[in-house]
Amino acid sequence: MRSMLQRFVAAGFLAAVGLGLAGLAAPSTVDAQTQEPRAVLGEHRFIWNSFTRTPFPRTYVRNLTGGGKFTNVEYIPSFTIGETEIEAVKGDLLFAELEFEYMHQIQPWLGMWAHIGGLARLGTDAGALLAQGVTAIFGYELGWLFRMYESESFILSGTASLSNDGVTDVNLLRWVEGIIDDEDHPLVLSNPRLRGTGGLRAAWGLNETWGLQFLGNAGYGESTVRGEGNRWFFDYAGSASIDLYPETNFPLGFVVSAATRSSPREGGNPDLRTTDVGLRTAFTGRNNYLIALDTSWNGFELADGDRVGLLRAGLSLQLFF
Amino acid sequence: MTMKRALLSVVTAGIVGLMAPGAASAQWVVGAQGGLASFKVGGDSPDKASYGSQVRGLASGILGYRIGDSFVLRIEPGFIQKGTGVAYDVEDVEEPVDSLSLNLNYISVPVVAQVFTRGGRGFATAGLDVGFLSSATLATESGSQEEDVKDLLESTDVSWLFGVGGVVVQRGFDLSLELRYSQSLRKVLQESAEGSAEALPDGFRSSGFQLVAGITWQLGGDR
Repeated sequence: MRSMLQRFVAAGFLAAVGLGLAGLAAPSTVDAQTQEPRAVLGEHRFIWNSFTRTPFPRTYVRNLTGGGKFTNVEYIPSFTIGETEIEAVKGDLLFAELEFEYMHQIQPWLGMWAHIGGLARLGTDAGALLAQGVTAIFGYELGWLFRMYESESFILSGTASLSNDGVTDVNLLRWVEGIIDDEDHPLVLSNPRLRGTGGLRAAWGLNETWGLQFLGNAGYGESTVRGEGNRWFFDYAGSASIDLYPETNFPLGFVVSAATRSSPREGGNPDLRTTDVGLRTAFTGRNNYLIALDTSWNGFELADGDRVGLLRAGLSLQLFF
Repeated sequence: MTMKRALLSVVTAGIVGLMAPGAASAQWVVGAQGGLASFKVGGDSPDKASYGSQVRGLASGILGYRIGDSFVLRIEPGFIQKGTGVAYDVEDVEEPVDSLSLNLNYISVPVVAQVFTRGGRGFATAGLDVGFLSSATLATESGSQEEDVKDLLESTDVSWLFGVGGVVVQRGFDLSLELRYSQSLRKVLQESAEGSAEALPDGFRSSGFQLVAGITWQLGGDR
């Protein structure tokens, strides 16, 4: 009986998705004829990245495959036993990262996006594994992007979104410390991070070559620190986008970005803001897709107070419809 | 009594007025919908236990107001059941064994923005669902034992809804089928009750999918 019900539900879900997609993908009347796949403002064809994201409610699909590395992280500080000084245990932390995002243009002024992604953090040597353990974060974001103002060269859009990350943390050192202290420190901790966010995104096309983008987000939700409760967080980012293709016929573009975030997704101390800088290098020779190499540096503080840097790189593919 | 009559007259006049031919541009939408809801709870599960989704039902009325060609603001008062199973690891059994079932029944009042695509055959929805807990039980899978846990849970729940769907336009009415995702924003267990229900985590929320079929009629205006 239960399996029949489940089959019925599965069939219904497929039917709803099919009907929904058929409806959503129904031919549009005007804009599909006149709209460029990649958004153009002030003659500049934008190459937006994950820092400032897109203010254009357009249909696209994007994925990112990448990774990152913390360097020179001190896991266990140095200490002295008698006259013997025990050196600090240091090691590297690696991230592997995977993202997939789809936005659908429901109306010329409205887009709805779904983003799923995850990252796994693990030590690359015995010290790192013992002290920091393994962390995996996997979650989703659902949101609406609505155009508020648009002129020949400028666009301002608002966003409303909900994200939920599941964080799983396996830490052998914490577990052993719990046994020594006769306290209940679990080996595996799982922790959801549910957050609601509202924001503004803007883009300004200066000319064929140059464009500027801005993003501001305010959100409320669960902290990266387990058991801390809810808190507010604010993110800001700015980007300059340069497309060499129109003037030089060389199909290359760059986006230089800077951002600062509170309570970052990667974890760490939520009371100190991150400092993030990024560079996107993209193939811009086609109007309907982008292939880009995203590199960035993130500076933030781990929960134990270590100020660290994270270098990351990823290959991104975006298709525009 | 006079006051009540006056209020009733105003409400009746309002409804008649809205439904009158002269109010055709008002474009009210009325209807009903029903479907299936597959929910599970999220949060730390008890030792050697895991949560699984269970399929329940939902039904509601629809009162909507069309603004422009593509936007309808809807209120959908109704009833929704949310359930989750708790399965425990049992020695010498490979898969966790379904053992407990949490059944939550809510009177729900979703307020939903529905935006149609340019062709009018597809739509996306988003909104908030305020739920008032009407009953809550924790039962064994066999149904032989059942415990009322309503006093341990928050009396109201607020969920965020996202959905996509399609519509088939018929003469005089519309049929729709929609897939919705619902994520509860509030923790279900009362803070004072944390630790008192061993099978339930302290900070759990419910989330899940809804498959909703609906029928609507538009009162006045061009369809």
